[in-house]
Amino acid sequence: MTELAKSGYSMKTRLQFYLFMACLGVGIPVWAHHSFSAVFDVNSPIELTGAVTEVDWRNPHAWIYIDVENGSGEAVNWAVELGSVNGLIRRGWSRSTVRVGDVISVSGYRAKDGSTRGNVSSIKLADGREMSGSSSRD
Amino acid sequence: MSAVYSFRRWGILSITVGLTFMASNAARAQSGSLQGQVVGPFDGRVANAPMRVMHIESGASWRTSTDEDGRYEFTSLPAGDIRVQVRVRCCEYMPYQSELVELRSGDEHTFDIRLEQGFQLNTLGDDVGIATAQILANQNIPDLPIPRTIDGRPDLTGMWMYGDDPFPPTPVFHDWAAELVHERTANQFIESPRIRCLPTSLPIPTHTPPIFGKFLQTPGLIALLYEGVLGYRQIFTDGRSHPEDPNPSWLGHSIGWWEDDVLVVDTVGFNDRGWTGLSHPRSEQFHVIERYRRTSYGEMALELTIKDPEVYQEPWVRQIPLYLTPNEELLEYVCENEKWLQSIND
Repeated sequence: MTELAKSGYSMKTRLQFYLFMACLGVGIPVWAHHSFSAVFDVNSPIELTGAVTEVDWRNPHAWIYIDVENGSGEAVNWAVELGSVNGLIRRGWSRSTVRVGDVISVSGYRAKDGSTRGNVSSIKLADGREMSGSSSRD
Repeated sequence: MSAVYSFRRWGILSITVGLTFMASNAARAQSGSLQGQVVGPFDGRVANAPMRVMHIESGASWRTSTDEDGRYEFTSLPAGDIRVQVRVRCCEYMPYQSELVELRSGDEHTFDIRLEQGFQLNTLGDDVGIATAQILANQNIPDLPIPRTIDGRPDLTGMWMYGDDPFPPTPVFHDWAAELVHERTANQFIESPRIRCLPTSLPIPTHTPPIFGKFLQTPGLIALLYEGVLGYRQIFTDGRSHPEDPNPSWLGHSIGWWEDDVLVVDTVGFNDRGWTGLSHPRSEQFHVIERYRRTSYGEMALELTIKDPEVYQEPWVRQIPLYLTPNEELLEYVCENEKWLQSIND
């Protein structure tokens, strides 16, 4: 988390990056649906563990809902967003990879609006498998 | 003997680069070299990262890719100011471009680069670069000649995936279009038709990169089925022309013909509501010319020429590699957007 905070960057920097992309001519669609950084905050990393309450298996994005215990021992329901169902299938998933009642752990970034929503950058499944959207040894 | 220089942050990217300059005994050499390692935001080594060095004075450039350990080397670079670029396929890392680096004859620079996390925040299932590598590794491409139809043309039928063109030419916009690209970019493309589950523009209308789609080549018609909104393209190869007054549409009217072994597809008749790629506007004058050349059983080269006299000052030409993926199959893609819109409207 500390390292993440150190590597944070400002909105201005992000805009400059996008303009750099435009200058490069990166004009071919490369993401499925939306820019995650438009909704989620790279400076607000989250790590959640809890029992799955719902799996919403649909395009353009799959969502998983989990009950996460807060500091007072109460369960708070979080909604975490993944890529497309088609993208997940090509990463070896099916709708039953995550089932209601499974205890899973996810890492990602919280919504900019401060709600209990986030994206999933990596996940540890109930069977112990770990999957990440990052390919390097970070 | 070495010294560490702190480079001023390049105006586009907030990246700190450590440059170690090693004075060489070979000061009389006619050229210099550059080597180093590319790492991610948390020091992970970035393998197979496309890199380019540009020599400012001559305009010449050289390309390489990092090895499995993230290391790279450029040898025999001419002296002068150079710029280093790294661009890993969207969207795991930010693209990187260095400030100007002065390379003198005989220099042996060690230039390590740290990439920042990309704008997709490494979202699982949306990791195009990882998916591309996995899909390629999962294919069994037979060692066979290029298949042909009964009339002797290359047969493009099959599932195809598209690769990357890491350093494409820069589009030259008219001022209004450049301003609009800037505005859309500043808004992080939040008004994109794609976000409302409307079609993605040509040239690649898929919603599930890197899947390009499935060609079905028949006499008089080539169909492209793809995972996205609408889900199909028709390319008429029966000799017809475009309509004189085409119905302005999201994907336009496509006709195709063969020039030797190259399939040429010409598409006009677009509406002006589509966005090209991430942010480019288009007018009803939008005009796309695709040239498909199957280079082997497993690969195809696609040259794209994008014209729109109201948007671009000159045609914008791209080179996109395509890979046959016989072990992939088309999946249904119905875009249900209400949940995502709820998340941005709350």
